[in-house]
Amino acid sequence: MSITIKRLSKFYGKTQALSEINLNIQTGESVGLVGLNGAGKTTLLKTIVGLIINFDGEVLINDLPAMDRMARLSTSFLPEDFSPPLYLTGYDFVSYMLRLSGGNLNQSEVDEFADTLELQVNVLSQPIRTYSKGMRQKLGLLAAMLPDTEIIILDEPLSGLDPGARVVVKDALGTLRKKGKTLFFSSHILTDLEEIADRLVIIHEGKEIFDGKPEELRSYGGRTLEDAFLHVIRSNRTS
Amino acid sequence: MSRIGIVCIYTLQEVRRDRLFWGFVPLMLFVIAFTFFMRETSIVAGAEALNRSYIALSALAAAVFIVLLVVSSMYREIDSKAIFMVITKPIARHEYILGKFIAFSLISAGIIIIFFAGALVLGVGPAKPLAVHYILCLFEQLVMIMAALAITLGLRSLPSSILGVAGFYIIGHSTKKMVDIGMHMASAWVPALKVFYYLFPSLSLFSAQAAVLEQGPVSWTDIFFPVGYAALYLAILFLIIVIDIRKRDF
Repeated sequence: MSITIKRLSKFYGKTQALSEINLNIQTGESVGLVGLNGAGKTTLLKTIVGLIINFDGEVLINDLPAMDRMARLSTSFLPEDFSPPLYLTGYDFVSYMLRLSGGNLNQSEVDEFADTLELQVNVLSQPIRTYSKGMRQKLGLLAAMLPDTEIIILDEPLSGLDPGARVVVKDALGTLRKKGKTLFFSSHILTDLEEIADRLVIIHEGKEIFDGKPEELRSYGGRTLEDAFLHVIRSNRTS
Repeated sequence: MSRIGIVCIYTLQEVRRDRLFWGFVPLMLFVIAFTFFMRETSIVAGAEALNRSYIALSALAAAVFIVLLVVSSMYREIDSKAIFMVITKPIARHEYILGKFIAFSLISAGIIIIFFAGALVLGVGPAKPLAVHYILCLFEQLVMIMAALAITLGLRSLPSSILGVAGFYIIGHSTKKMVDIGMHMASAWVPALKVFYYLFPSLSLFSAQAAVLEQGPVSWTDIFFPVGYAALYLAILFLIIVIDIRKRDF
């Protein structure tokens, strides 16, 4: 068992961000998390990686509490709208993340991974402040993938990327999936999720309202996956 | 290498490429230029005006510079969410803080050494009192760095953090004056005022300006009490940060 979430609830003041979430993600599964803005997706991901520590319920990574240092050894995280430290170079940042994970920079391995993300090697020697948004996102993904952790948690990994970059990143996630990594990531783009995820989890107003395969979601009707998603949302909408 | 060392090294890597860091060069030139200006225009004797100005300005410039560096760097790391990728690694949050503190302390030591060297070249005072004074300045910087880290992590807003640290600096240099005023008003307040003096940051402890300017007696033992005070204050500030950051959601 990779990730176990039991009766997870989280309040921000009087606002309930998560309500009694129960979720199990097995080793090697690729699970997509989807919901409207403000549904609680980022809050859920943050509790798994130990950024949020004040919550009710239990979050376990390989049977260890999520805040445990050993649990974090097996996890990588890429936040939403993330920007690496501007004055480091790409190599510096990747090396920083690798060393914190207990590894070392292997330049040829970094170059190989960078190539799969279509991140040019000469760019990695430049300061990050010269990078475009797409390049920073790819660098973040590179830094999340390289430590070779068992579990990779990504918050909106495809956000802000042009169509070409989205294809490249989806291919990279597909490769990770084939390698047996456990992926848990959020996205607003259901068709992208359908391509990479074995399973979809829908969160609405802090509650888990769907957990199943993409084809099971399609059975809710409509021409597209978005139609089915909206049908699920509307049928669970609280007054 | 320990994770504290890793955070320290990459913080130094980042800071050395930060344009704000290289603003130290014009700052140093400004301090020197201003002290010569004061020598030419002051009503006190030229050399005395230069010495007073250099001592005062170098301490102020070093404090302002290192605080701006700490606050801007930490704020940028929080605002860009780069901190999320670091603290989700197998590193304790207090190790992250220590790594940052050591990095900025090393930078501060470099700045103090440069100002000390400048004081020697300009002939501001004898070497031993100058060395004592700048060692005390360094410990003041260390307290300011820890305060800046605590305030920036707590407030997570650039203007609020700058104002907060400025307030800490002003209170730190005002406690002695406030206590002196209080002591003249009512002798019964003396014990309470002494507690106030040591409880609040008493940054005026970290100065041997009088010994430098008046060439009074000074001993290496003069640094023992301020250093011990700084160590205690640093430990308290660090404890506050650790207690806060361990319970804080990001």
